[in-house]
Amino acid sequence: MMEWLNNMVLLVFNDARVVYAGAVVVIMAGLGTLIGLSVDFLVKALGVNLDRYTDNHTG
Amino acid sequence: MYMPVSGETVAVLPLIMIGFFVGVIGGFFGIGGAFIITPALNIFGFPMIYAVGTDMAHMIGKSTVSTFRHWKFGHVDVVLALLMIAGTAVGIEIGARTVIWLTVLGMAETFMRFIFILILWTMGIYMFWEYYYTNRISMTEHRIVKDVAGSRLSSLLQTLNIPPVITLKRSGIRISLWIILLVGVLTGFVAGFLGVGGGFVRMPALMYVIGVPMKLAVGTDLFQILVSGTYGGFTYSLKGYVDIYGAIIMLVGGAAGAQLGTIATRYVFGTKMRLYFAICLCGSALGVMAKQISFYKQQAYLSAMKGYLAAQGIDPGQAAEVLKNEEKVSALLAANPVWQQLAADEKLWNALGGVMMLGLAAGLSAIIISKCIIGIIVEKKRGVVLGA
Repeated sequence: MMEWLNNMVLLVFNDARVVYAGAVVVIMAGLGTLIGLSVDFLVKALGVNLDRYTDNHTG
Repeated sequence: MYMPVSGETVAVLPLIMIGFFVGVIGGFFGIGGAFIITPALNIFGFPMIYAVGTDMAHMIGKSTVSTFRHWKFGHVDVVLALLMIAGTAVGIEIGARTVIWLTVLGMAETFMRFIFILILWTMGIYMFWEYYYTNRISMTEHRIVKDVAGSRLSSLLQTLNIPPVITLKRSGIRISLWIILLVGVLTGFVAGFLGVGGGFVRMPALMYVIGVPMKLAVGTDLFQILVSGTYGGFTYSLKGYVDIYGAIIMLVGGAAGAQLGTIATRYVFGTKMRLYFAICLCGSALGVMAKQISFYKQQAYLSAMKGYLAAQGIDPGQAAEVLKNEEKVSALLAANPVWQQLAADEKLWNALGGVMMLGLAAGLSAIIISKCIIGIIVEKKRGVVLGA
């Protein structure tokens, strides 16, 4: 499985560099958003309202 | 894990950890943290050019997350960020050309490190002093100073009515367009000159020169990092210097860390954030100084080797070629115990610089996360804003 994936990455990397570069940007932005939203979900589950900034400093 | 693009095998856990630590710091301070990640990736086994490209690519995901969160908090001044980007692009080009000119003169590396160290110490000490000053006001006047808006310099610059003067509604500032562009050019120059993203100098410039409050400066700077990171990630990928596996692995830690760092800004006063940033700057300055000492040690044995090769009748051009060959340099080192010692010292100081940077990142992110956890617990206990 991993070997197949490596070969696919190298195939796109070598034969279609623009597609590779575009995929890097899209994957990074998508994965970053997904992980960020997961963290948000966990923090919201703790009862914190993240949709609005509140001046609730603890120092 | 095998990285197919760079052809290197790199351990996964250190990648996730460095991504996480620098993600926390980046989300909290509004910096990219390339000055920590790039050397770390190099130590972990990535060739330098892949380290730069892979860092750039993972920055896209990390800054998307934290910019979105800061934007939700109302901490992104898009107009200011776009104007700064225009100035920064020009500044980076001038900075890069200056480096090329200094490289021709053979002064680039030492000169760049000295400027880097000087900037880090100056800003770090100033921010320490500012924290001490605001803390004294809090103590003597028995009131909490949560943040300091602007500085004397920014107040002065805001009085200069050089047309066109624009109003930045989000930041609550009225300032000449030329001053914003000039600050963009200068911070871009520093970034291009030092070969770094420049968040560590842009964020303080937004605060002290333009007069933006700390948290707005952080969010606005992250927006700029998102734009420059996306361009950088794309162009490095196009040139073949981004290892997508490495970038994805780092992003797993980086995105989670960046989000936590951003959330932590809710619970820490702007003044305290400046204190932590000052620690970050001074710690980084110590790390860069260790790297400079390592560079001196390397130069000492290389110039001694040059002298030795010249005495053997080898012309300078050939000697330079010999000194570029690692195997030949190793053979020369084995023949002379003094050079061996210098090479050992070089490695030691280089490793010390890297460890200091990593330790700093780990320590600061631990403080920031603890602040975040304490903040959430206190907020829950107070029950004031839950679900508000």
